[in-house]
Amino acid sequence: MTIELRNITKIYKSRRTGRKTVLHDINAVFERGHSYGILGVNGAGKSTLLRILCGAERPTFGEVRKDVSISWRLGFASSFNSTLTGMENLRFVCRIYDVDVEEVAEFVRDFAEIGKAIDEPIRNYSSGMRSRLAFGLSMAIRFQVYVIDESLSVGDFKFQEKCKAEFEKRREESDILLTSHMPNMIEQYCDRGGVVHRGRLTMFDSVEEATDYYVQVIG
Amino acid sequence: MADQHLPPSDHFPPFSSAWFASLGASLAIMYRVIHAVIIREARTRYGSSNIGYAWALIDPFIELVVLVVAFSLIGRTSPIAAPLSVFLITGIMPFSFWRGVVTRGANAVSANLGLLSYPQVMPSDIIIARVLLEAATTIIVYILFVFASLLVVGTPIGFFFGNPSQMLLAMATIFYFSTASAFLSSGMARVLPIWQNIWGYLSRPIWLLSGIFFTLESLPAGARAFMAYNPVAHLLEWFRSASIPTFESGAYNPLFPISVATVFLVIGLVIDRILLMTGDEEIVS
Repeated sequence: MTIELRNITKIYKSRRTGRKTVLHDINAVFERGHSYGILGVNGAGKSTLLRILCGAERPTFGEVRKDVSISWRLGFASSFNSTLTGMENLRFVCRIYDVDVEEVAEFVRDFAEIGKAIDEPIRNYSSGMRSRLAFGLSMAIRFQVYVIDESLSVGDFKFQEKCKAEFEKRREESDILLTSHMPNMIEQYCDRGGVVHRGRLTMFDSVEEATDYYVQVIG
Repeated sequence: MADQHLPPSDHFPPFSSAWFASLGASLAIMYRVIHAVIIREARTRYGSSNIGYAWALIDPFIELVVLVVAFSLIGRTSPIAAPLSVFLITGIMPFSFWRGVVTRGANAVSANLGLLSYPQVMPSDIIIARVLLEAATTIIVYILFVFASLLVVGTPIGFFFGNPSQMLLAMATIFYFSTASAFLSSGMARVLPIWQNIWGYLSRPIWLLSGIFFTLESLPAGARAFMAYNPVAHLLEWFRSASIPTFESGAYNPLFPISVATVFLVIGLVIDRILLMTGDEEIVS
């Protein structure tokens, strides 16, 4: 067992629109050694599911059990304080994950291609630089599962190639959990799939089956 | 590998060795997070402006000057057998610590939603970090004030440190009361967004009624009985009794602020727990 979702239900309350159930009673197991792709149209609940999986948000009911280290969503930069420099933000993350600052800084400088800008306040960064920093930082810390929200895909084609190469290198030790609304993205990285449709998750043993089901429910 | 995957301690029977190991691991994470948040808060709060940390000093200094001027304008002198500066500083410092902590507690969560998306960062870590940072700042500013009064008006340092052991007790109680207030303030702000405005209005009369510029002892019996419902006034009176060697008040009761603080803390923690369990926090992105 790696990550187990038990009876996960998520309800959002809003003053204007009232209660909205985003995820209905989800049960699933994500096993170590497999990379999973979650398919779903916009608004199906993929991102909420991902946030609950990586611990950024808590479910209304149910529990997440895990015995691996899970990254935050790759490229997620909202935790950065814009008045602090890239380096200061990096140090903060290293402190809370208890990893060596120098090692991480070296990796990030090289991987995120931001050079001397690492000592500039984040507010001076372009949005691309910001997410490259966030992406490099999550890659610098060795997690057992990397979580990628497709809506956060970063950088130009060259940078994406670089990320892909880095993931290839990590295959042995790390798995990937990816969401997308495009089946071909999933096929590139994953060997198992799932489909989120109207807040319900259906898991499949292969990406092909997941894709077939996905095409069927959206079509 | 990042080690944030240990199961929580409630997965083990209480007081078993696995339970202790898990508890120790959680405490180690909590220590790391609080340490990191303190550094981050110190940078963002004091580091961004040009005079930076000086603001922490200027704020109570202005209050002191205003009160000294007001006292001399209406021709009043120190109500106790100690210089006016000693009397005012021993009131202003604990009060601004408490008020500062409640204000910083109110937006501890809303200003840090991005941070809370890291699973190991808890709202309580941010509150504790903010209280600790404020406490350290207050102690530094207090010591600076003591030396400033020695150099500028020649007040002997002894006037500020009458009974050190009592002072430590009073400070520990002020710390406990303020921490509890910060937890309550944070909880109020999370369930009631208008709390920050309410607190803004509330803090002004409390400033008037907490005994910064009078002592409980000097009040007539009727007014004193009314003031006895203000736990902050008890704390200020206690702190003054302990720090000023020539002042000894019988008008405070340490147990009262301690009990109020415990009630505050319980309410604050219960709100925090409920919001954590239901996950009803707005999360960015």
